Amino acid sequence: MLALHRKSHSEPETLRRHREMYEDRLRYLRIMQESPEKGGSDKVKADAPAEQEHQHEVELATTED
Amino acid sequence: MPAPSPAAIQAIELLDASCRRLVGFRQRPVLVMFYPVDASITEMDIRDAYQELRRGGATKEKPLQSLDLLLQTNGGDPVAGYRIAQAIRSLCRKLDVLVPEYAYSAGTLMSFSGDDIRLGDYAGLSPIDITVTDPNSYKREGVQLAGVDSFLEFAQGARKQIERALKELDRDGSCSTVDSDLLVQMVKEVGALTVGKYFRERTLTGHYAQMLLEKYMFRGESDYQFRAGGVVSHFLFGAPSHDFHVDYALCKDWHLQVTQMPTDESDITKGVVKELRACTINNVICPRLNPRLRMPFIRFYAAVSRRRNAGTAQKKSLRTRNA
Repeated sequence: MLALHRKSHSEPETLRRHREMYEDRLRYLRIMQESPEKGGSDKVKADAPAEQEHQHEVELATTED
Repeated sequence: MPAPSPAAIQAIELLDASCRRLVGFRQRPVLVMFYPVDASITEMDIRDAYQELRRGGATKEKPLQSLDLLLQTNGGDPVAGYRIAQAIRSLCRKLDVLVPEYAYSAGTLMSFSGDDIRLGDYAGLSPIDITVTDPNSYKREGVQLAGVDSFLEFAQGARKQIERALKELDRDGSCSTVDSDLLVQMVKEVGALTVGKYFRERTLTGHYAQMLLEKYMFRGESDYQFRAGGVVSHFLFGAPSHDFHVDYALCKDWHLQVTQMPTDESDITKGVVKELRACTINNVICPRLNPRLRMPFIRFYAAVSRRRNAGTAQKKSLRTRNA
């Protein structure tokens, strides 16, 4: 990784847009961390069941991080 | 700056090609919203989804005539889900929600904003009751409202059974406090405020679901309020557990507007998800924002016919100029 971190003229449009969104979010999360009173602390979620098959994918992805 | 690796470029090209194939097949633009397992629907997604549609030329004054939303998610914040759905609907007249495999929980809530929900083979939705998670915990498991409901039923059942047994022992008039004892214990373990929060949040989610169904899915129907109410009731209270896969047959039973995708369409949408997974596994997309959270993939793919027309129009105009 990370293809997302590399900027270049040959970067496909999809990758470029995704990278920009990613960088925006990192900035946003950094700001939220620095001023936690601004961040939403209410973590009520409609979380859904984790699937075994996909759990495997995460493990694979995590090892490659 | 170094260029992206050839493998990353190839993976993205395969992904783009699969999405263009879907657009070509459906003859309408698609907004892809893909959440890998460690990504959940958050408020940050609202702006990205909105900006992607704006990038495609949609405005609220001139919305897209029709749009597909390809959705694959395990869920997340129901308020964010509702807001994303409203943002998307403000920029398109007709919306079909494509679910190749699953759109659970807050994803199910989002899908209620579609005129139609198109389910791929073995795809499904889930109940929309809420789960409370500890923000400081790395565990993804939360306490389900369905669990609290079941506990209430269990407590009532326990009391009935004990009182029946007492009656059989000729101890008429005796009563048991087992139900209140059990409920006191549950409140002690879960926390009184949390239990209150469950019910408040469920009311909120139900209200959002009702709004979306009335305004979009059942719009124009004479009994739209009744139909929306029926669907909400099933999706809030009809399932024995939050981990409950609501497949096509159940969706139909619960009177939701769903269609089974033809095999070709199902295969094409699953093909998109396959490429999205491959890109995620190879860390081409959806990197981690922190140890708990992955980035979702949100991308708009314009209609093929429009591009072709635009290209043809450009060529025509060039020819005219040259002439």
